[in-house]
Amino acid sequence: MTVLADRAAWESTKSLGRQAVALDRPPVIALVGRPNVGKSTFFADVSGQFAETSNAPGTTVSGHRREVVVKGRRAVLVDLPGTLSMTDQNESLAPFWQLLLAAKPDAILSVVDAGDLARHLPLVLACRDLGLPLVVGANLADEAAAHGVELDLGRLSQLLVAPVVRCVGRRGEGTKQAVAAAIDRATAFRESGGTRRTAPATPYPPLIVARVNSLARSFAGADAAADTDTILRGAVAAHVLPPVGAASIAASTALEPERWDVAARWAHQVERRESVREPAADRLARVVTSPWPGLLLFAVITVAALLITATLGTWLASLMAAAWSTYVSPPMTSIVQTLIPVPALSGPALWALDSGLLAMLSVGIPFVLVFYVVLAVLEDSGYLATAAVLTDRIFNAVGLPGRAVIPVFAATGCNVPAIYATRVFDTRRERLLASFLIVLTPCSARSAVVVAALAPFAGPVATLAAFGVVLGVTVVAGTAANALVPGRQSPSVLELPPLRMPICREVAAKSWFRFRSFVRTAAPLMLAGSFLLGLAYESGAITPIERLLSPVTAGLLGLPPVTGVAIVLAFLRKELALQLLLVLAVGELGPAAASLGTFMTHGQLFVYAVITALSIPCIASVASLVDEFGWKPTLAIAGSVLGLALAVGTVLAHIVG
Amino acid sequence: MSLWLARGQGHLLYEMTLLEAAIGVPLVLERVPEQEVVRLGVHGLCAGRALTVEQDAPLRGPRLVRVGSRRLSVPRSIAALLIVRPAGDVR
Repeated sequence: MTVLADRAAWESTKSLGRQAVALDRPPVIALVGRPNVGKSTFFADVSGQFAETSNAPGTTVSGHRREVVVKGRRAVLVDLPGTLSMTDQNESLAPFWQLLLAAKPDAILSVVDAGDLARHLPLVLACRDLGLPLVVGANLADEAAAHGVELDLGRLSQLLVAPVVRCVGRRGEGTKQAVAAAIDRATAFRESGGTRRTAPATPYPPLIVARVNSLARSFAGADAAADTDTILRGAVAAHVLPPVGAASIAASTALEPERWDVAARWAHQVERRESVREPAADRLARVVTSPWPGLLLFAVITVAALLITATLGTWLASLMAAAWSTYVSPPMTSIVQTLIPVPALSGPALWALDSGLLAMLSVGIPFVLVFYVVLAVLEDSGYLATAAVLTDRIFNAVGLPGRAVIPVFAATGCNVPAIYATRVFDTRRERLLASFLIVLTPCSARSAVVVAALAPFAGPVATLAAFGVVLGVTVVAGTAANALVPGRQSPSVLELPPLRMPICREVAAKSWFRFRSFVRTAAPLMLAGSFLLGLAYESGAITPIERLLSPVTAGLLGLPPVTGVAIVLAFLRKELALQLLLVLAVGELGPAAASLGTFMTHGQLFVYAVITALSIPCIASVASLVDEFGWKPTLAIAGSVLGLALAVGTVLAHIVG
Repeated sequence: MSLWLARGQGHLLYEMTLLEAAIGVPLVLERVPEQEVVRLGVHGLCAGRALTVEQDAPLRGPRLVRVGSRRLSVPRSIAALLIVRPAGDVR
């Protein structure tokens, strides 16, 4: 057996240990594992707090950190995104090893699927090659047993020279023991001055080991500048990583196939497989991905998800709006008017605090929260990956892989988190195309406007037709964007997680986490937007804007001039496109205009609904686009969507207006 | 009859890709293109690995392949690059 490090390579680990001891801080334990292996469940169970990570590197750029106390000892637990290898990355983000090094771990807790060791061990070996203390959590042991797989953990521990703990994260079994073992290893590593009695023996061929050792010497020596990676050199210089660890990353292309060979051999040695009846979840997984009845089930599940969101959301919205109008709005109005006696200021303040908060309560909580619960159930059950397979060909037409179904589906709740969710794609091109589709997808606020504008006046058929037009425009625009944006789709393999019964605790935690993040992003923008709306309305700035827009609204789209202001100001708050229109119409045309049907024909309502559903993204979506892509692509997307909305509106005006 | 008839010193008459493989037949992955070794290797698609095509996704979508205890959705363009042989046949 060959040794993957020489004395020189290990020397600097002494100083790493001394530095760590001197700092006297709780050890940092990094959770590393492939997607869907249950790291976040581990993290939630040990820390008592949910944190969301994605199924691809990049969504959680720096990981979630929490201080935990396990068996009376403190440690900092870092939940990193799932990764397939140490060098895994997408086009726009850093490779995984950089995220790991940014966490500055004292030990690594590698979480593996106990039933699929051959596929998970290569990443464990990559962690072990870094030269940092390692503990392995053999998670999903219950599912492995259901498949007739039992592991010889003692033998695996011998092979890896690291403790291996049997875990069932979803039931909280073994998670704390695994973290405690990692704290022990990190502490022992520090107390020994950062050195090991012997360097870990490796099972790789001598030629590969010689290459890694040569690289390690280069990283350890002063001549490192010539042909080694700058960031790795910096990590070694800062004692975050021993030279041999840096060398194993630098040589990952050569090491990776060897790791897979070793993993297959070791898995064969430690696995005991018994023939058992195929679990029901596996049989069900084949049924849901089959053309029949898979496609029918997909349609039923999608419609059911949207119906549940709409029905439950509407019921909750009416409850909250009634409660707000009765108990909160009157006292708030009198308080604001007392505190701010100047009407020019108290008016906008009330727009923000009263109608702004009411809008949050009547859209944010009912529709977005319910939608997030539905999304979490579908995600935790493993069904969303199935949907990605079923819709793969459809999304291929617009230059995206099937897994685009996940952010696009999320966009029907709110565009903002959906735009951030595009980070799962490999290339910037795919992220831009997906964001374009997301912006065209009506969120719950825009859908509410379409329903409220059409259903009571033009009927359910017209409402469905409006959604049909939006869907058709989205598909045509997506196909055109795919043809126009340079580059092509890069096909990628998708791992299908097993179907599982969702756990209430996790669904609740995940929904709450996402909802809180939505409120934090959207609430300030909605309040500020409401204030600006109020300022425009109270100061009389509406009339000049209306005149300015009149050639487009009245001339091109055949709509009453007052609608132009409502469409433009809906940029600040989409769900107000209707309320604002009524307020403005009553102001201009008198009390008779309190109903849309009195001053707009069915055709005009149809045009107005489609334009509102399509037109420029709201301020929160624009902020997310700028955050993700910068101003230029954001302006391109917003401009394209606006142009598209005007073109479609003009055509519709000629047909039905 | 097997397509894997040996000729001369082990040259093959025909190489079968994962795209052409029949559903339900146990296979062994023979070869992965050099430029795809790392990208596909992280999913367990390495030479020598046993696999079975379980299904084709609707509308001529990706091939659903079982590798070990997990299922992978392999796009057709990638499946066309992977050389496989039936598990029982020997080169």
